[in-house]
Amino acid sequence: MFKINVIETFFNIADIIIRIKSEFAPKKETSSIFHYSEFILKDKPNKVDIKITLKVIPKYTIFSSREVFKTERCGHKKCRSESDILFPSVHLNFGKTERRYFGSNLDWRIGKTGRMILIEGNNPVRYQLLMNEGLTDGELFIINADNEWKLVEVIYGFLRVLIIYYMAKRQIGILFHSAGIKEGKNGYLFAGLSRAGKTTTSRIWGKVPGIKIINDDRIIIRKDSNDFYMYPTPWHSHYSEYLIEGAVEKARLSKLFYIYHRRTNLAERLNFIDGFNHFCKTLFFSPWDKECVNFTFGFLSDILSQKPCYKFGFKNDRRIVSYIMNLK
Amino acid sequence: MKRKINKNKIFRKNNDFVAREIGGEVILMPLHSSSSELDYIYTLNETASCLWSLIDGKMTLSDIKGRIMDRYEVDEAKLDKELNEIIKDLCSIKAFV
Repeated sequence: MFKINVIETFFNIADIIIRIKSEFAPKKETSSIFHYSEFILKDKPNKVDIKITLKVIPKYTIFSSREVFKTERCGHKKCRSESDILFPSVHLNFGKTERRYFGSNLDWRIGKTGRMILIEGNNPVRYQLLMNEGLTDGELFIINADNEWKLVEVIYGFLRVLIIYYMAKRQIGILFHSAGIKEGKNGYLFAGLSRAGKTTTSRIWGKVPGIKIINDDRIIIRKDSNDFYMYPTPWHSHYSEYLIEGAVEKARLSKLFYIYHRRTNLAERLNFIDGFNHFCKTLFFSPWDKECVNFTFGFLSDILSQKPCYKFGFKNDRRIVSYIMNLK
Repeated sequence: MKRKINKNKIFRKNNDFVAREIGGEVILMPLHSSSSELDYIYTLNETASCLWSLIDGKMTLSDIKGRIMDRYEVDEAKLDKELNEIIKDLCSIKAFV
């Protein structure tokens, strides 16, 4: 009898444990722009939340599915998303049938096939993920004729969508488009739209002794013992030299800031409604699922009813540090 | 000339919208099927929030107006105008079916 070796890789993202089981060990990524090693567990954990079996196959399987959401890529330079910048366009070598199946410019999409949820896409690698309704068990197909897979393909491919959807479905947390900073016992969330200054803010705070940058672009917030905590994620911006691998843990959320560039520093306390309207724009929803959207709204209002929030116009220099630390 | 909405019309909410009351205001978000539509979350003002909460697929616009006038001291002509505008806005975002 043949014995097939099974390799298990465990990820821990915001205390959600994901197990990827495969016949092949993942190929190591040599580029230094990715910071993800702290999210890979060295030892087998006691519990696993999401179990995925990975198979490398040579071409897409054409599933009969009902599409519920898709994202498309715009070829225009100005419209290129952050993920496009992180991952140069994959050269797609679709057959005619696959091209018809996917249409053009697909980034990723989600659909239902029977009782299963199908997530498929082509960035940074061609993949199909078939999950059960609870998003706890599934099969992942990496489409690669060379019979190999890389950790970065999983982390920067479908995992972000899966985690956002999983947290909303299980009602355990939300993902902010934001930077997160830990200063002693305080955790500050700096949320903002693209180019609002999240990376700039992180760079300034990163030079201050004793400060830890939790992440400069994506922060998960979960509730624990009636308080809110910011968790690091592997989804960071391109220039993240201030992220110290393995040195970041969760931080209790103290204050939220909706940031924008300004000539002088000015933090204006927002009331609940204004806070909601501002921070809503910086959230990642699962916009195809009514219950998930409802949960995300509720979770945000729960945070804002407990934590002070500000609209913060800032000048790009280190005086923002003392300004924020002295804020009453 | 601005077209007036039939006061006997019965409006029904579109099930593909998520509505949630946040701090006394109603937030509306349409469910999306594509990232190209992911642009808007709508905050309804006090009158629009009140209208939204009263729409049940049974009452006519006239009935709803009556309920609002029972609740608030408002000038009828002003309310007519405001409701007309709100309904046009909500129709334009397909909040009704």
